[in-house]
Amino acid sequence: MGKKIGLVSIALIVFMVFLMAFVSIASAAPGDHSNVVNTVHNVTRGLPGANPCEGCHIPHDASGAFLWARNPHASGGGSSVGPSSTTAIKPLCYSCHDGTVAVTGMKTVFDPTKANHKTKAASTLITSGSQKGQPYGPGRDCDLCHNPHDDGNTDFLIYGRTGANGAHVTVTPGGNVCVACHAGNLDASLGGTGINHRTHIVPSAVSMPIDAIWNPFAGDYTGTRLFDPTTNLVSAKANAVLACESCHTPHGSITDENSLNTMAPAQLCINCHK
Amino acid sequence: MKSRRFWYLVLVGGALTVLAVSLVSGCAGSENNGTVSTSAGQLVPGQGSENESQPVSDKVWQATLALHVEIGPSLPADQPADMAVIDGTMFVVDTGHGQLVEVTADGKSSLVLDGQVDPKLVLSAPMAIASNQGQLYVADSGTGRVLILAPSGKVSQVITLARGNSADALPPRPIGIAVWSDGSFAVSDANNHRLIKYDTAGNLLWTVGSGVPATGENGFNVPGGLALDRDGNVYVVDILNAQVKKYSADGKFVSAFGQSGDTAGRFSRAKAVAVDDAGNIYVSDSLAVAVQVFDQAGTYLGLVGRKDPGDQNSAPLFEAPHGLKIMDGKLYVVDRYAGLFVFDLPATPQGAGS
Repeated sequence: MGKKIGLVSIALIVFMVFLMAFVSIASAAPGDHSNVVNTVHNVTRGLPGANPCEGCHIPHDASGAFLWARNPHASGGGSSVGPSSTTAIKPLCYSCHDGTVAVTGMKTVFDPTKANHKTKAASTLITSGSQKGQPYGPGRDCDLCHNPHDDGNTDFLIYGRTGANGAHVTVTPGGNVCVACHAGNLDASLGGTGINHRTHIVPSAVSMPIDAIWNPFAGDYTGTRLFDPTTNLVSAKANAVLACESCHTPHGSITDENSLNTMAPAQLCINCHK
Repeated sequence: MKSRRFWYLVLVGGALTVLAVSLVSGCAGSENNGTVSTSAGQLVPGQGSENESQPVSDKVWQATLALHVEIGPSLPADQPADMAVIDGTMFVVDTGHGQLVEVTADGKSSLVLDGQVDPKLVLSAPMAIASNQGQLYVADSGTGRVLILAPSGKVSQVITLARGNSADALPPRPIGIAVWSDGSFAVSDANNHRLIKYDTAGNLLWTVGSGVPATGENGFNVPGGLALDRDGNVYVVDILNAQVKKYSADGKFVSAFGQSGDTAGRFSRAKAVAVDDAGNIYVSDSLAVAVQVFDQAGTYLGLVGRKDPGDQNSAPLFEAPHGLKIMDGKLYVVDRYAGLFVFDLPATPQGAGS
């Protein structure tokens, strides 16, 4: 009798171990895609019968890669969203970020008179920074820098804004959205001269910018700006510091796509160095 | 032997586990097939079954391109979203610049209507416009207001849309507008997922939608463009539910159709709607880059917007088609990047009728 109970107990224990192992494997997150549930890109927002992916994907009857429910390509090819745009992702982003579903992006990224960060590089591999060796390749579009599934870095950026010491946009390879690719231009150890305009400093009283506002949402496309070193947000407080984005902007620039400045060249320097 | 018995138990335990899990996972989850029943209880499938498995359709909707005004000197606009037509003159909402642009019927010249014409004409991201009895009604999404003005630009009335009753209600963000012949109007509120109707004095008449994203007959997930048919019913593009929903003039649900997808007759990202006198429903889709046409039952009839109208796979005419109007036998399409398009519709109504 005791032997039988012992055997049953062992069988039950083994059963439970297998069950727990199976459940833990089955419920493991498949990767950053599952993080979309907690972002604003979960457009079905827990509606009954809907899944969080179907804002952009559909499991059946799709006609393209990634199971697009919303084909980012025009049927039959050709451009969509902006003159001579033939890229894949941008139309899908604009389909919401056009002032209907979302209001962000309309006055910067998608303003046809403003410049944006290039999304097709001449070379096929990133040559420096934390992303060294990663391919650009055709089809790299908004997704060059943004992952619509994961908002861990804010603005759905693939690369974090904060450096290792938590400061905003420091020249720290691997910890910064700009130097993720541009480190070679900035860091002597990676082939650049290492001599660059300082960032992460508080301007002196003499060199505080005359025009310290760059806010395209208010229609102000020209001006520099300073950042709070702890929150990484635009700030006018006394401890606000310079950052890459004080003088440059990846979207909505009034200068060309090579310099992406927030002010015209003739005004940029003297805005601070009067 | 003890060890042999141990491994025998492991085997049995594993087999039981597999059996138990397969039984549990056999239960299927709920499914959203995107169809909605009409008030009469009839299911509206959305399109014919022949479209279910093929991306290409040979259905052509007759529409002859009569005018294309590109963004530029004749149309100095930034991402225009909609237009209203009065006696052939086109009044375009210039969303990016926060102004209206009046374009002559031949598309050759234009006039900007902004605060310089009337200090009360202050717009911030206007997204929709409609006309009635020679007056223009502009839905200004940036300020949550509707402005009623004369074609000259003189503002006669400004109505600030009221917030919803819930403590969580967001500021109203109107992105669609329709006006009845008595001057009452409805707007779609994208922030609060509702359709709201006002009388000419600015009194709220009725609301459809609970204030949060919802599905079903009286729910929306970002309601977009609006249009009226000749009987005064109002049609709403329910953008993220991939539906077009129809309501009577007093806000009662009538019918709905639509299914998401990137094949013919499905909605990729529908934006605006218009209805012709035969009751055919035109839906602009900025991601399908076309204006798709359906009958009252939601059956797909064809599309407008290819350089070769007979070949759905030919290059598109549009970049991001948005606002629609049908007037006097013409289809007007506002494209956020490509400008204004005017199509002549055939004199004899197409489709199966209303």
